[in-house]
Amino acid sequence: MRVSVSDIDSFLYWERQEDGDTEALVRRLRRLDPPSEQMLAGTALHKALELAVDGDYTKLEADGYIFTFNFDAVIAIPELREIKAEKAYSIDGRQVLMVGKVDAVEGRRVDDHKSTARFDPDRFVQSYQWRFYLDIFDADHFRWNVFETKELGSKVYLINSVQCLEQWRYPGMREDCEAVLSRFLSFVDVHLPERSRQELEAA
Amino acid sequence: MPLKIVKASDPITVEQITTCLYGPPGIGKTSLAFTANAPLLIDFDNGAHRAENRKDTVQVSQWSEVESITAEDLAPYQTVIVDTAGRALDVLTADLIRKDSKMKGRGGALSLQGYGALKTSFIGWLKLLHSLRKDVVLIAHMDEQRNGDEVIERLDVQGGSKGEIYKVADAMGRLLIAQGARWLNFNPTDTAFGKNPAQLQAMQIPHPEKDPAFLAGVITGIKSKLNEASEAAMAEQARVNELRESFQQLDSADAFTKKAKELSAAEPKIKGILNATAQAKGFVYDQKEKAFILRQPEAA
Repeated sequence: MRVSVSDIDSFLYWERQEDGDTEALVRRLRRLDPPSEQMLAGTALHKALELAVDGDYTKLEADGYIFTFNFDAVIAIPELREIKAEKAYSIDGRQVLMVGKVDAVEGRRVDDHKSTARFDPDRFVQSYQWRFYLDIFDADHFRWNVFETKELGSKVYLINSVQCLEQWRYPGMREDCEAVLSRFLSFVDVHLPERSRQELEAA
Repeated sequence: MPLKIVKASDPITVEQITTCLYGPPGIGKTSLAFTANAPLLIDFDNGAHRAENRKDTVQVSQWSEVESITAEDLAPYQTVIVDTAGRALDVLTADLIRKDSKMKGRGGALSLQGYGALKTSFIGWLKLLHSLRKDVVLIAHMDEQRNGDEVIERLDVQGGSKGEIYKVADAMGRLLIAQGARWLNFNPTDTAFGKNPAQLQAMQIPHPEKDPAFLAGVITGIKSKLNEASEAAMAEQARVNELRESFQQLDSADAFTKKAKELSAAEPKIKGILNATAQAKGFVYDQKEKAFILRQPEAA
């Protein structure tokens, strides 16, 4: 079974809500919902950063979106950008291929760009995305570049700050990832039986 | 006002670090901090007297008292302990509002401008301490939040300032009691935060009389590990650059397929870089054929 890193964080978000909306999660995992405006803007910012070369920018553009900067800051983005990788996990005798794409790789560090209306470090640190990325990319060090954005108009965003937040690999991280993956598989068996069937057919 | 994008910065030697220690009241955070190397405790919380192994302490009630501490005053010390970071930020907040009414927002909290000034002043002060070659230990109380049956442990620090501590801390460990003993654990969990750059296992905290330099050893270990990691990262980047350059020489689907076969046992990152290089040259991997093929132009 192929599982994307972002599926795991959607699942964990649902798990942490006392009254989590199961139908909404299933729709999301089945990719039935169209991307929100916020997601489209985030994708455009990622693309703009992926293509940006060294230099000073008062604005960046991609996919018809315009991002202007309302601050002075320096951000070090590695040259190696948008790298997708897969890693196999064996969970309760089942083979799972975890798939993730990071925004940049430098040595043993991976970077992820995020756009958000308000920087909430608790949310980032608590996520499993960074744990899986460190494991999949065999890295030790994870850095979020968090862009605080404000929508000014249609496809026009003001970026008020960029915050760099870091995390590190720790002993037992792989086991933590496997435990979450095991819970995710149990959810899939009940709520997305078609994925379990595909897995059986492929075996 | 520009955003300056630069290539990834070169790894640098770490000489001073900021360590954040948090835990519930009365667990011995200050006593642990006093086992750092030649410590000076800046007591914003007026609680240093409770520590069993109290060492040099400065009582602070206003930020101007912090600003008046000179390099000469700090010369005999190697570690500056901020007890607590949350209270230090409160004191700094009060000072900013007192000096400039524009810093005050609704309900007595900081305005957006005030928050920016808080961040700049606090981080600036920590940088100054590092420039004076001091390690910094930030002590924070723990705040418990309930989510159903689950107890989530957080830093008890006012709103947006918490983010500054997460960002500035090179290492973050929590103190807890388990199996009748006190432990220091830098590992994050589902319900608690941690930052563990040295990949340390949870460690039992000895009584300060038994090991008066316990935290000094931990901090030295973290610095040493960070420097090893920095060297390893440079070596890894050199290896990746070499491989990447060799991938750039490939110019046909067959050449990429042959290389992919050669790299079948390589780590996922290297395969990912090969894929990205192939894609940039117009080739895609065909899962059925198990080979790279020329990407078909999209229909107009």
